[in-house]
Amino acid sequence: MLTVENLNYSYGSHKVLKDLCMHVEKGQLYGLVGRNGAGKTTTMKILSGIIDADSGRVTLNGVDFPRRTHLRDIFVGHSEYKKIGYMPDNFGVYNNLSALEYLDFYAEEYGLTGKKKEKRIAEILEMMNISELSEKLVSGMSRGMKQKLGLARTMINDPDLLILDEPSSGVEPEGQVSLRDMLIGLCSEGKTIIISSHVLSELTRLCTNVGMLEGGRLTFEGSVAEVLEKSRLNNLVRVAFVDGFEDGMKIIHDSPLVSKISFDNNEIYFEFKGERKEEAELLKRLISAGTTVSFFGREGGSLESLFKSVI
Amino acid sequence: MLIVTFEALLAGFGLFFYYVAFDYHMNESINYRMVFYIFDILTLAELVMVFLVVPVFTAGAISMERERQTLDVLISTGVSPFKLIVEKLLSTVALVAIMGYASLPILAIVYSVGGVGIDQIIGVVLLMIAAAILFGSIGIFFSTICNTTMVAIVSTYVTMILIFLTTLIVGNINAIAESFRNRYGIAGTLFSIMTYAPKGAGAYLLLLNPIYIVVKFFGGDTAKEMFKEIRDAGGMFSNIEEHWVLISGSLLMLISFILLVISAKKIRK
Repeated sequence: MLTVENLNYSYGSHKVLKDLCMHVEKGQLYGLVGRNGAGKTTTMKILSGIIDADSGRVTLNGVDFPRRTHLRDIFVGHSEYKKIGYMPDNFGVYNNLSALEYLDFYAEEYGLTGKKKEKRIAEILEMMNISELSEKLVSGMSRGMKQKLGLARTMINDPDLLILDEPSSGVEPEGQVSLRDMLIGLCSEGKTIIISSHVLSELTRLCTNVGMLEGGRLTFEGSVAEVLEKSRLNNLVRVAFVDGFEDGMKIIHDSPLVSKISFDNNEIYFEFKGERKEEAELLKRLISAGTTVSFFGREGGSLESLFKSVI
Repeated sequence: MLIVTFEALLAGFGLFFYYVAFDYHMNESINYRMVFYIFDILTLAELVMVFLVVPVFTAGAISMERERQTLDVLISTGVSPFKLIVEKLLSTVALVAIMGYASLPILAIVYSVGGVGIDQIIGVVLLMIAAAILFGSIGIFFSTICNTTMVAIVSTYVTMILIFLTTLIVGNINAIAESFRNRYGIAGTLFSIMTYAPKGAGAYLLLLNPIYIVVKFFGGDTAKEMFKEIRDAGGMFSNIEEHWVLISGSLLMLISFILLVISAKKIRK
């Protein structure tokens, strides 16, 4: 659905994005992770059309996104960007408007008018569960309510792609759960969502796919299952022996896939380059040698450990 | 509140000068010359109001959106930058148009005693709108390129004053140089060079000065004096002088349009 090819962007002399390539399929909930300054917000702004990349190509549903400094775009705008809903990390609101007026304003900006606009606003308020806030002034809303309103505004034009920069930032726990359920629900309806967050555990629970941004490029991109497996493989293997410790140590030491061995009581820790199949073979050799193993395995993978290994 | 204050001030001016013109003894003679001055003063007051008010509204149009962090979301809606800019300008122009329309009853004080036609009354409102477009375009331009609203407002005022003064001085450099030489006997090379500028050439620069449109609109002795050199230059300059409002107005509207296009291009930093 969304393809990014060799995107480059610099702030002055500081190059933030270096030939960034990214691919998001329809219906994915794609988590973009990276440390502060990695380029997440810059990437999202380019995809939303707020800034133009220095070079590179972005296509949505096979259609190229043009540079918005073209003269035609200055006068006419570009309808492709109306298929994207963008919610920045810190976004301002018009405090003197009510929630209904706020949504009405943006609906007009998206080109919705008349009965169609009214119907859509009512639907969105219902969907976001904020109908009771329609007459409330935005200035009187909590951070969580404003985030919901912001998300409602993002959805007003029924976009194909949602780009949400830290949507749960500053939201209370109950609101985060509600937001998570909402995003999962939207994905199940066929929406594609790109989300960034500093709460990696949340992304693991929420996302279907993850891209890890470091040094202006994606160092890793794949499904969450692939991420967890990759991370798991970075973890040490732990083997606990009931007996046959010496024999077990010898077998482990002789394996060409093993390095950095350490031990504590009857437990051996080591780095292991193999995957699940090689792990199973090593365990089989240990048992065949007559050792009694009470535990063999690695710590489960996590986005945090993969993130730490990359940075 | 702004409209009420503006109209109250204008009405105050108008009634004061009406009182002076007609004198409080209603059976005495009417000072018609003063009546015509009322029209000029009220028009000037309205234009000064536009000069003071419009930059404040327009110079914050984009910079405040940026400060409030609402600009990115607006741009992401895919709306054309030019449409966004024009909408911002039109909201201020609409306010000025309402102020002008609301001032018609006050201007009608002069209309009621004759001497000023309905076309001049309407001309005042159109002049206000044109001034709002020009000043507003400058305001929006600085709002787009400046980082803060305060800097944008100050830049707008300074630029407008510089335009008024620079075009006024340089456009009349011949006359100024002559005056200095005659009054002070200064015969330096600089002044000699200045007086070699072709007569009427200052018109090109004065076309960019909105004050000259206003003066031409009023007509009268002041206009005759201010346009004397241009008129005396003859040829093409006489034609320019005759159609001054149209030519200068068109030029200033073109400059406004160019500023709006540049602003639209620069809106995404």
